[in-house]
Amino acid sequence: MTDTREKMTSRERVLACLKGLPTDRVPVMYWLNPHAAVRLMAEFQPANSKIWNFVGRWLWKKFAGGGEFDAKEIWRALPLLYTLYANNDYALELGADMAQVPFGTTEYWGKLYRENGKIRAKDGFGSIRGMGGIYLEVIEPAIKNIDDLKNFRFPDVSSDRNFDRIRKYRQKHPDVCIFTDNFGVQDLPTSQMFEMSQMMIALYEYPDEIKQFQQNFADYMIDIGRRSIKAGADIIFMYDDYGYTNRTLISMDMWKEFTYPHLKRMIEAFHDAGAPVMLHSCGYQMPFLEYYVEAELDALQTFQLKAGNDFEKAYAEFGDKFTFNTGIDIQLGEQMTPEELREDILRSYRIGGRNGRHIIGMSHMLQYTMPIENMRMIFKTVNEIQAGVHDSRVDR
Amino acid sequence: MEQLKEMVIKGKTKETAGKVKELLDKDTDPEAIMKEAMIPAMDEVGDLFAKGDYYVPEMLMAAKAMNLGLEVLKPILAQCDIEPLGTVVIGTVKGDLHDIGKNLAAIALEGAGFEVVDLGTDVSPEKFIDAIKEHEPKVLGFSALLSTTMRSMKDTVEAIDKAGIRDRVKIMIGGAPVTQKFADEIGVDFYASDSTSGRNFAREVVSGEA
Repeated sequence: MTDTREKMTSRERVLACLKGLPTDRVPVMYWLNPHAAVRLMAEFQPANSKIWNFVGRWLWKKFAGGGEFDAKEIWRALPLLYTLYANNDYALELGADMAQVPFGTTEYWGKLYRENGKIRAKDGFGSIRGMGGIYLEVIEPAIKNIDDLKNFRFPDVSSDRNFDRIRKYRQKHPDVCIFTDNFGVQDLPTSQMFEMSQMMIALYEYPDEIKQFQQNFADYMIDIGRRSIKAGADIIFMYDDYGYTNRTLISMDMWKEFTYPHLKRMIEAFHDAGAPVMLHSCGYQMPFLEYYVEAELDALQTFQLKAGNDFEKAYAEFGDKFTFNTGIDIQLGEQMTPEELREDILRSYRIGGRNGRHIIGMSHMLQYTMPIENMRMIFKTVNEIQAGVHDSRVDR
Repeated sequence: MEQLKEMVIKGKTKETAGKVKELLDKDTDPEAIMKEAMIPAMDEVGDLFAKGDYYVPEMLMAAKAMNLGLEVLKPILAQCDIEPLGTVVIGTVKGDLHDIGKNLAAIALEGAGFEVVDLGTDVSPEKFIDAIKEHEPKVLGFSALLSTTMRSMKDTVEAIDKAGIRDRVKIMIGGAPVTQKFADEIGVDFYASDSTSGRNFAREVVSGEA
């Protein structure tokens, strides 16, 4: 890979990387849990926006006093307001090349209310959420039984307002690489809309009904993705967890029967609309890689080491076929020393940075529980990589 | 009996209850049905899961088949006064609402003949302590899916220790972010990398090997 001598915009850099074309340096994606973001504002790097910064530092102080387990619910919940800012403007300020800008209005993602003194939200799909620690988790899924599944009506996204956020961000930041949320047919319905055990059993007991639901779901998501691309999104960031520790959630046969056909057609539809697809899939990924190639997936995020994924092996076989967005181990990194974490990031860079098709990215959302010294080391190491200090790319 | 065992292993939910009833009608010893069919069936399911031949849906189907059979069997077993292998209390720790790992662990343990007291999710240290005092389990199991809530395991172990009852129970932990290193750091007795290894550890505890 020949170094280009001109500096690229982040948008050019990421899109070139996804196509396997030369870049001026390795692109970077940061993914921040909002509680981690306000901690970073307070203890590492202030946000450029005075208001966001002031409020963020104050929220961190209020939250940190009690932490996840003892802070009042309001102080655990309020940092969630930083979810978008943390992953677009602030992530860019920290040195990322990619900004996350989801579709939908605030009402679509969750109407907040109080019930018996507790914070609740009803999300766009109708699931009720409550604060479990620092996340608004599903406490009552929208779909309770197979009849609900058969009769489910997807939330209305016909209004163009649902894509205003993307449109405005594109106008404001023409050179930034925007990635936008979309969802695959396996994880969201299983874990957020229906109760997981029931959904897994339904794969056996009601296969036709599940397949029809997945068809409808994929159609719905394709429509959303197309309109997101039209509004200015560069990359479709599709969430669909297929694995966990050292194994896949369902058998490969089942995955090929239920999930894969939709993954393939969604990728094709988004390609036709003009955008590459980056799949976020937690857990063990090794058996899926050849299918990602077949489906012409452009990038895979997170590729967690903890889950049993072998980056060196995978990159050797597939590194010229799609882009790996990985390298900053958030899960194991919490238990490493700063020096160990630095070496781990460099180890991944030495593998992936060799030929391009690598975005340095976090293995999951950075959590506030990571020691601040480790957080500092992450940004220091990545900054060095961006400056070419550890450049291991080979001229071809 | 072999047919019943196969039905449970293969998750034949519609046939299992009928088969149990058929065996009972033939005066088959209910304890034998448990010990020669149901428990060995779930043992094999656990082993198939550990080997990677079975996945979450297959485990759940087998568990459902077993539970449907148990619905027929339990009233009879209650009259026979059959003791479970031991009691295990499990729960997802405070701040965490995820339960699939915990549920799989419960399936493996119940299948092995343990009485499982499932405290649910978002379980505080105090609730674990109360459960130890009430149920006197041999084993306590914690599950967590998030690295942020994993720390609640440490708080819970410390609370149990502070309550003066740490020596009454063996503690095992599991979940996606959990590692052996973390288990060693917080002083628990076992890191369960999956539900089968947790089941095996619980067995070792009741047999005195752990």
